[in-house]
Amino acid sequence: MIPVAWYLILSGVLFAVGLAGVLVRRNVLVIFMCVELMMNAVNISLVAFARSFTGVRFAGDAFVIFIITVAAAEAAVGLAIIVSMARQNDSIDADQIDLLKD
Amino acid sequence: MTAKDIESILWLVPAIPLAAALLNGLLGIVFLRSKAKKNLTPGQLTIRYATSFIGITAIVSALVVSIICLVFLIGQPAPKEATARPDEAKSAQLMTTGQAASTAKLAAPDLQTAQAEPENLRRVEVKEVYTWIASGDFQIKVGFLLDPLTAMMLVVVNTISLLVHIFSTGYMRDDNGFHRFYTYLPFFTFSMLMLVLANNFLILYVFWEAVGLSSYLLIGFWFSKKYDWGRLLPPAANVKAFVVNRVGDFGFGLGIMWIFVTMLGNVGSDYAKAHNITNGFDRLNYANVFGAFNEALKTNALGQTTLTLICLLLFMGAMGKSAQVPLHTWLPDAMAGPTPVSALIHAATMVTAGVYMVGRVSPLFGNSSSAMLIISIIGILTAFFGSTVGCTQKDIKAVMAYSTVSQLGYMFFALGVFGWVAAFFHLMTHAFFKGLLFLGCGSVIHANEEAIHEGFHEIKHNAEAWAKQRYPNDPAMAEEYAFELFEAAEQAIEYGVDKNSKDELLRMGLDPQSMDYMGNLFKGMPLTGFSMTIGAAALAGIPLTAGFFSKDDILGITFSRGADNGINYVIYAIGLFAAFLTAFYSFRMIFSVFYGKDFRLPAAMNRLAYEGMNRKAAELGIANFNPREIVNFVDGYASKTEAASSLTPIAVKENTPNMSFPLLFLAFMSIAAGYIGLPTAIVGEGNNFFESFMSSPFQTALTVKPLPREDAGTTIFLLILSGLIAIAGVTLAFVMYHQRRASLPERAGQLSGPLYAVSRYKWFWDELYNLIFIKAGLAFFNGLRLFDKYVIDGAVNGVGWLTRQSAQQLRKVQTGFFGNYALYMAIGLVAVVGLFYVLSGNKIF
Repeated sequence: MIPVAWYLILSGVLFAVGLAGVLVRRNVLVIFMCVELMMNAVNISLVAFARSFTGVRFAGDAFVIFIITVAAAEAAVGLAIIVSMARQNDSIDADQIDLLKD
Repeated sequence: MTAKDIESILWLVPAIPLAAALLNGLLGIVFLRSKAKKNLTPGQLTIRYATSFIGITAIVSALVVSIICLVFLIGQPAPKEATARPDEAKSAQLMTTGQAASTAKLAAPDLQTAQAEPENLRRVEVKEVYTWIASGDFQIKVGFLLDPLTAMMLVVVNTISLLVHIFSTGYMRDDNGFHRFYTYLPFFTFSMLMLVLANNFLILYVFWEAVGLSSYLLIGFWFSKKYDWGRLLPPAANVKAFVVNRVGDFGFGLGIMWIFVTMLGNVGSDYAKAHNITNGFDRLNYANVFGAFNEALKTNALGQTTLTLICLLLFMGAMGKSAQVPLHTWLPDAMAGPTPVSALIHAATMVTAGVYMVGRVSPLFGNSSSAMLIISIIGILTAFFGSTVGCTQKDIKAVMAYSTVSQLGYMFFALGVFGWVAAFFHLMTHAFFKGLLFLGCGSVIHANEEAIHEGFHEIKHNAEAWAKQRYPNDPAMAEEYAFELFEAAEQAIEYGVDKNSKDELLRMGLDPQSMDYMGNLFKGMPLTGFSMTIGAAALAGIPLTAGFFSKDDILGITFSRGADNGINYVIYAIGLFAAFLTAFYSFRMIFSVFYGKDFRLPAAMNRLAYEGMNRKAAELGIANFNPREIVNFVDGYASKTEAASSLTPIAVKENTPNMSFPLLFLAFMSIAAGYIGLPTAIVGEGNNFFESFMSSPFQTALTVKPLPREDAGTTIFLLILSGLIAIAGVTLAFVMYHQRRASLPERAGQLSGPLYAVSRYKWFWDELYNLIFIKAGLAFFNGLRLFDKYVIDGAVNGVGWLTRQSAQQLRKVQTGFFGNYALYMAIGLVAVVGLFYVLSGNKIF
């Protein structure tokens, strides 16, 4: 059996990649994709823990499926926001959006 | 006359002067507001003189009532000794009727239990004249207490006040504040009368302060004075008097509060229960306080230390009011007021308040021998201090002021050695002769000022004549030059010519109070000279004057108390030495003012006028100017044979009778007052009228510390000794200031060197206070100011600055770019994980 640490390392690497993407990229769409990436890194660790440490089957997996479902909904909302943003500003460059300041 | 009648008229004594003060104040405000005398209409002038008439009438009425009270008390039988047997006391009680019985019940000193208490008929207490504050069981009442001590004070205060009122009609004749003066004087008298009449500590304190207020108003009477020959100006002097008194009153107030707290505690509550006292405020009544304290001391409910501390706090107030070292500094500066006010302050109304208070509270003081010892030490120190300083002052009023300081010292050490009656005997005789000496000083100063003004007229007249002769063709120029020269001379005489000159005359101008420019005034003012000589004789203690008997009474008691405590012999010796100095300085004043060989005023005026006119002439460019052609003052008393037309005789003249009469009356009293208190040891027990009359208020104190009696032989020896001492002092003054005034005083000053400086500069008290309280105080408070500015304000402002700055920096964090926020979150995440990693001892995995 593959030790849980390997899954966690994978999860950590994926998370780090996603985080780096969120911090570095300017395209809101790419940032959004990176956020998905981070979420999935978490999903991986969740599944890995569930397999390794609980006797109950599908306990962790059920959570992950929930998360993916919610994430789908969230992706729909997020993409809708991005679309409306693009319509308003003619741009989806994160550096030009500072509405939070007001 | 029964006690009831006295009770019903007693309120008139303070009420009439108060009414006069209010009426005069009202008249002044309505009719005479801030108008100079020369601008008044005849009607207003009438009102102006009416104010003095109202004042005098009021004091006469108050005096008459006081004398009635005094005569009533003298007519009553003397109270029996406190150790009287109960049956005697009972029979005495039966004799009295109604009101008298009930008033006297509380009154008698409560050494014995209430039942055995002897009746004291020489004591009338009016418990409620007026209710000041009524609040349930706590009612603050103004009550009066009349006993021999009060009666004596009432008569003395009113007598001196009356004479001062009469004298002032002359002295203040041309003053623009005439009506204001006659508003303050009755008010001052009223305050002092209330102070001595009060029957409880709170009212005593209220009028203690009222006396301070009146003295403040009167010392600063000439508040617009700009130049006073180097003395402290009135607006500063009255503040000084007030502030120094405040130091003493701080202690006095604390003492009274302590008494009140004690009376509200167990000591007073037990007493109140035993004597049925329901009103909380009645616990401050003298009789109750003394009774409760005596009982508490007997049962040890009250410690000696507490009593001593209370007494010392009260004494602090007395030190301030009665100018005892080290709180005496205000009194000499209080000379800034008009001279009649000085007479009033020094003789009757202000400085005696401290002595009176210690006498009044004698049942407490008498139980604390350590407090008494401190009083006598302070007293003798003050007596010695005052007499040394008096020897070298040039200002005639300053001599008298330090003399008062010294004589008050005598009174206090008399109190300190349990010589209660002697202290008040001296207080009374001192009131007469010091009132006389001050009014005499006023008379001399007034006459001097008049003579100087006469001189101004002469200069003006002569300068005009001279200029007309010199410039016959140019009357306009002559008039101008005459005016300029006259003004220069006047300025020179009033203010001096050169502020940097070493010569005091040229620097300060002609001070009408300085004895340097007096001499031989007897020829011009025989009445003043005669009466002041008698006053000085009484002050010096020349045999058979009042001062001789009273001062010797004090010294004799101190000597006899030496058997009790060796330190009293030391006090006696210093007191005797101070008496010698007193005789010296009082006659130094008399000889240099009234006798001496030459009349010095003309020479001083000539010198200043010439100096001023010479300078002016040089400025105006008058060639060959000789001021002698204008004016040449000569002694107006000298034989007129050589009086050529170029000489201007100038003389000091006796004042009007309204100023001389009080002097003569007081001169009579300065002799006569001594004969009501001839030494007991000589005239026999009971024949010393003053002592047998006055001893009843002090019976409690006397019983605690019985006085050892001296035998007649010792008394006579002491009398002769102090008489010889006084005569020796006078003789020394005679040689120095009458026979060889030109050379000897200066030689003596040079010979004594630093001693002279110490005396001349008043032991450097003012300089010391300046250093300690003003300089060091200023430095300290300046430090505090800097602390406040930089540390306190720095902290407050620093917090503001920090908030502002940090907010300004932090503001930049809010960019609105969500990328940044994401970065912060990431950093936070890393930080949290890192923290866990560190906290869990590197064992996160």
